[in-house]
Amino acid sequence: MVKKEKIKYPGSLETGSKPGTRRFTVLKILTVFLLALLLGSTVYLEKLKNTHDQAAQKVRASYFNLSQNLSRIKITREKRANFFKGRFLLDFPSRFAFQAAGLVKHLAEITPPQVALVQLDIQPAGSSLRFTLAGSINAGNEPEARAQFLPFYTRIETLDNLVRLDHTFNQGSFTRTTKGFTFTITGDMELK
Amino acid sequence: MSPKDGKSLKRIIWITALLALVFLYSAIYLLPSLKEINHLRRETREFSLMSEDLQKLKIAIDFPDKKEQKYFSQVKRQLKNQLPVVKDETELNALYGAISGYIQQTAGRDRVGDIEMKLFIKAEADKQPGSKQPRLHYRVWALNFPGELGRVLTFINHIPGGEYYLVLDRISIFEGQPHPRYQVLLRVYYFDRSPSPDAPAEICRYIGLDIDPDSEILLDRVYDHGWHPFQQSELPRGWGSQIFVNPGAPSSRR
Repeated sequence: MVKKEKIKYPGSLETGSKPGTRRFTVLKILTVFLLALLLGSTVYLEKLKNTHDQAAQKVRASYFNLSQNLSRIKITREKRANFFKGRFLLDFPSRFAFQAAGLVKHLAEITPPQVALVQLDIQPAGSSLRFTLAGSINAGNEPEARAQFLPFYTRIETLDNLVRLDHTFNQGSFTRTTKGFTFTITGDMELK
Repeated sequence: MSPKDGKSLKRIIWITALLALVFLYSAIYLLPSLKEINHLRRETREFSLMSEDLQKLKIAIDFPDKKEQKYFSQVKRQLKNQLPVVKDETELNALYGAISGYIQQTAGRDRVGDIEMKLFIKAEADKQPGSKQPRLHYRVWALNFPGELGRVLTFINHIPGGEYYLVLDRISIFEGQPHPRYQVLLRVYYFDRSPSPDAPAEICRYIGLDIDPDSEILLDRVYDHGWHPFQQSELPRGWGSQIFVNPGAPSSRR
């Protein structure tokens, strides 16, 4: 009689178990482990959600408590803005007239005889005064005209409260002379 | 099919089922949960920041006291007094007559003659689309005149000094002979019924003036900023060269 020997498979942990059965056991363990992992992560995530939800509720409540003052703050700011607008409007006509007249007076003081002023427009622009000055220079050539224009322009730059100054300076005819060099200066002055 | 093949198939089905479970768990629970947690964290952070800002604002702002309330009502009253209520054309003509009289009187005092005054623009001050029926209107009158520059500037400086709220809308000076010529546009505001509380805002919108609603200046009481009303003053005497005058220019005499 031949004695049946238990077959040993190389590398097996469990001597005598069939390889398919063993692999299936590993799979079962893996399944259990996976289910445990999913359960654990579910518990952890629920706890985390709960913590964050509580924190959000707390800050939301604190914000809504504070925001009860918001309408009062808004009304106060509006009242103050209206006050400043009102004060500005009450003073505005006099400020504008005085500064506009002052600008023309300043131009009369700094304009050299060779510079002819042709037109000046002064308008309010927000809390500033905007002016456009057109004029011409009677000169033989452009360098000469430029040499006369630049000191004049530099003197305008010394105006108090000036916030912007630009100029165009082109050769061309103007109403007074066909050989004149015309210019336009625009600027903004802050109303003080 | 051999028993070995059957077992392999079973294993494959098992593994596929596990993978499907993981996939379903991720899709149905894990990802939405992570999204929700992220949303809650963001919400917490945002509300915290907003609360912090509000808390700072609450500490920084000085709410109006009685003194400041007086300032508010004083400005309101002054504006209300300056802006007339004109109910119909007759009252408007009367206002025009009064202003015209004031202008001629001021011009006479400053020795500026020959002022021609005519209606330039008639409009509503508030042209915002969808806004309520505006109560504030304005008319622009054009003053055309020649004159010696020094006297005219004094006159221009005196125009807003009267009892009427007259805004110089545009001052134009043209070269002329023997004196420059001027066009002064004068804006006159009036209400067509009871004064509107939004009048300052409406006029400011026209002039292009706005105040940043978040400006820090609005946190302090208005008298803390030491606002000094503009004091009407005379222009300094003494003139430089004669400007806007040249022999080739159109005559300013009519």
